[in-house]
Amino acid sequence: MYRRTPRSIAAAGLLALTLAACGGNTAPVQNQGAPGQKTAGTAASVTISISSDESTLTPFTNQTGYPGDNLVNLIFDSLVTVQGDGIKPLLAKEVQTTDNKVYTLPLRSGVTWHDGKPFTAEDVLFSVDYYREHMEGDSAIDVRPIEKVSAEGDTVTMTLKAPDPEFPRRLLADMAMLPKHLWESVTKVKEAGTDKAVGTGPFKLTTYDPSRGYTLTANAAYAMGKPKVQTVKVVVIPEEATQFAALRTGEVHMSTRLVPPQQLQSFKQQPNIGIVEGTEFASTLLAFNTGRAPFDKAEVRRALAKAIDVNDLVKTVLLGQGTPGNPGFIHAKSPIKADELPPLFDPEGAKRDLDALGAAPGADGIRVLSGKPMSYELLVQSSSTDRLRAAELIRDMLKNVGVAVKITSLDSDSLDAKVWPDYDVAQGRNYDMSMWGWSAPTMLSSGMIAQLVASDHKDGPLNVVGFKNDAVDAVVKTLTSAPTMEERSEAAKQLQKLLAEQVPFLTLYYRNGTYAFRKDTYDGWAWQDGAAALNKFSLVDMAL
Amino acid sequence: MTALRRAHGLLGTPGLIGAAILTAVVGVAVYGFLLPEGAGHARVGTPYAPPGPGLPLGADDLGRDLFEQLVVGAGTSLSLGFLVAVATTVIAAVVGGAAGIGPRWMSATIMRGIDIMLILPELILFILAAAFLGQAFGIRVAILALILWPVPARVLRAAVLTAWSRGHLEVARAMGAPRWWLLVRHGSYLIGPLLIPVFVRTAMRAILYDATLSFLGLGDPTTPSWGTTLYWVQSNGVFLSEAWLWWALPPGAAITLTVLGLALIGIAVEERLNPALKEANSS
Repeated sequence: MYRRTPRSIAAAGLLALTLAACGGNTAPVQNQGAPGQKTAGTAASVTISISSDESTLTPFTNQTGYPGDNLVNLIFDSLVTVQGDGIKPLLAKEVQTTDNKVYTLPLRSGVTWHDGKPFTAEDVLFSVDYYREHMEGDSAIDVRPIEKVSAEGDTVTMTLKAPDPEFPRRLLADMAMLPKHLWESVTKVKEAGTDKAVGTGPFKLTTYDPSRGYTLTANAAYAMGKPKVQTVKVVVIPEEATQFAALRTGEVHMSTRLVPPQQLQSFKQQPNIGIVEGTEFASTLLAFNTGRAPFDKAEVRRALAKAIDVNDLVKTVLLGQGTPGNPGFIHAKSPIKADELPPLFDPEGAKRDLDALGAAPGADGIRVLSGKPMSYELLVQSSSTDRLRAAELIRDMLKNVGVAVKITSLDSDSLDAKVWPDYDVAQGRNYDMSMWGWSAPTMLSSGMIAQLVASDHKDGPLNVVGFKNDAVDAVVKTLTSAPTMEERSEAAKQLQKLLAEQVPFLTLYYRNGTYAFRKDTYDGWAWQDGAAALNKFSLVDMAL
Repeated sequence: MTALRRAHGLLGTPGLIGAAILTAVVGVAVYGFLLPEGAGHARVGTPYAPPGPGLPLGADDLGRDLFEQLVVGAGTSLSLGFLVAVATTVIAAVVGGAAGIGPRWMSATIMRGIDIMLILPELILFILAAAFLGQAFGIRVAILALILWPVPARVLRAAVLTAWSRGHLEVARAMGAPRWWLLVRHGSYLIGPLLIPVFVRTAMRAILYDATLSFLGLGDPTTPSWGTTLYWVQSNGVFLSEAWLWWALPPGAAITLTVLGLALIGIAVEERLNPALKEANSS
């Protein structure tokens, strides 16, 4: 529910869920209830709740990164998948490359689409071409790095324009395969109906009603594992409080929303409720509209950032259930190694910086910069309680240094329309500051981070702050085109340093990954970094 | 004593009780306006602190004084109710009066317009309008005033028509008195008192609707008000803990009491002033 994200890595997320045994990043499910409670490793039917409608659950029509991509990934498969820290083959039997430029992918045999037709190399070629022609919407998959794709029998070969060691994780794991026989007639991807939601995945979409939700049925012919749940019902419950009330009563068996910190204790005490925890890479940010004065000046953004105590936000708003934001955006546990950057918080420094900019306090204590009072609007999603509270604290913190903030709370669609109209950064934006956030996949590969700040609209489809900086663009170029991981890691470090200096947005915090479920109904939920608990590994006994 | 007796004569016992409640709430609201700026905003305690010295009603999830929020909320609710009631009463008087004494086509147009407005569900209209236009205080007042006028306008039109058919007005009209003079000189005596129940009832509904909006999280969740406090009660799962007693109950009781006070006054005044009810009661 928080912000859409590039579908990119979400797929990756899926991956790993895998059993606690594999993979450094997977965490075992913790059963918090009293011993002896009935638990269930398989189930006939599990009901999960999401916060908003996700449209027809095709790779082009879902509405959010999380949990939208996660649901799509139950229906569709990609060539490889992320499991733990690593990449596992899925529709491809293996990934062969010697130079990170030419990737040879022999396909698994005996895989069929939900309608019974066989999955072939033709479908792979079609999918790549289709994504190339339909790079639209916020979840578009950018296949431009693939120069050439060809097939020989059951083996597909992809040749990249430049060597890319992250290619399997960044692109292959993220690219859901489309059935050629159904999709070749689709010209308007945004209007693809449920009849196009046919994949090779472990679940079939059997019913969809925008007002009631979805029914997913286990795919008995699934080639890569055995579904542990026969029917997954997905219900839409917009309000946080209602979702958790439904979970308490057993009407819902898993909520895709993070457990609110203040309710965690009472959930842990309730029998039959289990908690699955892991590192959550979703971020919460304070976005500055860097195209609008005075936020076009890095000095101003930095001064405001210095006034904001992210530790206090975590302590007060999240009751400690979170990690303060790294000024360089990257979560300390992200696979892209984070640089340990010093915190920015320094209210006295903020005052000095503002003084140095010539912003002297006016009669009412509000500073005046270039003849205009420093009074700005901060947008916040009305459905997000932690962001509302954080916005209130930020207002107080900025007031301390003589900057006035007016909070405007909007429903998330209206807010998106101001910050990210039509999910297309080329359309501009209309705000001063906004609470924002990206879902976990942005934290999984260096290429994704580049999308947040690259000034070119194609390279920076997530640049909702309208940031443009030559030094950053140069580093982004290295980051996305350097042939070796070492060079990319080095560039990623440089980029983080630049982000901490330029502050196109301020990373406030990462909430702890804590999800609640009914363990008397089903307790197979497993954590995968980047995909949280709703993923293939939670619901399927995967045999990879 | 005479003043009290006169008031009793005007309002009756229930009306007096209502007036007492309202006076108390107004007193609290005035006290709230006298509090330093930032009251209810400042973080003075630990989050979720129970009532204790200096924090009569404990603290909310950010450690802010719930008692101060209650007091400040009284000011927000009452001033909103008052402003909406003034605006609505003026609109209703003008529109209702015009429909009553204006030419037939104007009357018909206005009345059909009112009929259409009456079909629309007020609360839902308010929620939708607030979602589109914003939740600032002034905007909420304007929306409520524009939504709440049709019912009183209808009542006032009926009153104007009744007054118009009184004998002495007919005589005056026959002698050539202009309409505006009739309305000011004679009509105001008959219609004026009806504005009081219109005012009171509108204030009541405005307060209730606004609290509903805030409770649903569609108001401005960052400004202290009774509805906002209840919204955070809900979001923080307070009903599941013992904190409901000092966190949820006071704003709930405050809304109930205020609305009850206004309702008692409204009913009492109306019973004595509405000609139809008066005649029904005395016969």
